[in-house]
Amino acid sequence: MDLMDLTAAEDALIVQQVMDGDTEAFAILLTRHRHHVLGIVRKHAPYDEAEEIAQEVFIRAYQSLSALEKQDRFKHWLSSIAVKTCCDFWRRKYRSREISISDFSDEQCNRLDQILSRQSNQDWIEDNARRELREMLDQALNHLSPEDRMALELVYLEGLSCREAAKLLGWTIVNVKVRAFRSRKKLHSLLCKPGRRS
Amino acid sequence: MKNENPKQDALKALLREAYLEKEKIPVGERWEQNAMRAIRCLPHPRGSNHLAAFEALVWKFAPAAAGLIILFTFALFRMDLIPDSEVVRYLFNGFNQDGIARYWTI
Repeated sequence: MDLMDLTAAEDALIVQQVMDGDTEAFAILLTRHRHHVLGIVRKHAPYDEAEEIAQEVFIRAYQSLSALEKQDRFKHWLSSIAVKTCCDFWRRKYRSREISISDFSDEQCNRLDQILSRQSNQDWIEDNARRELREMLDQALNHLSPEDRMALELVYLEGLSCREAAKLLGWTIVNVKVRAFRSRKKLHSLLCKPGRRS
Repeated sequence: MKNENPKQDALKALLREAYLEKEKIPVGERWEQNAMRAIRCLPHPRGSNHLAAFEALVWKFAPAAAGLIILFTFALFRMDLIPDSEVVRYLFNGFNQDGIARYWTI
């Protein structure tokens, strides 16, 4: 039995303990998996909201613990809840129109060109450029629907397979493929507008 | 998803790097305590399980129930609605005019 199996077996024991009435045992699960969950949430949601969303993930997990069929698959189940919670977060944001959707300026497009050309010569980019690029990426992601955004982030940016992304999101593989393809096209058209840039 | 355009590949590499950078931001220490405080206020998952099971059962039969309601409504409109008083009057009159007369003639 390797370390991963041992952790999964321990998780299963703790889940059983919680189901038997020991709510405090859930704190062990929280400590064990908080970095994992926060890691997922920080990637998919804004930084200032990450802690609150991560908390919501654990609350959802606790509430639906009785629905967990394979208790030794707790970590994967929790990852799926984290991804779905992030998707719900964006749905809420879009519904309440808290997302600012702005087009890219010529200056931003030129800056991206500069970063790209520098990247071809060097293997690294300085912090400033990286921060700028992240802001541009966030700006571009705001143009996508919550579902397209999640599919793009998981498949294109994180490099997960469509099957893995489908499992996390609870969608069909075809749905993930279509959404990832469509959103990738849109992202490229946003960042590399042919009319603006030579 | 392979790109033939090298510029798009370079852009993808850059975006991925910028995206994964997000993961490295640190988190506050009181977060865990707050999360457990919120969880302690919740009902036990096994306790709420019965309610969830009942809810699932209700939703499971909801389409069949809706179908039956539509069917009965349709059947009700197809049939003539005769109030009880009308039925009684019809029986009484029929009994007087035909039934009794026939009875006595026999």
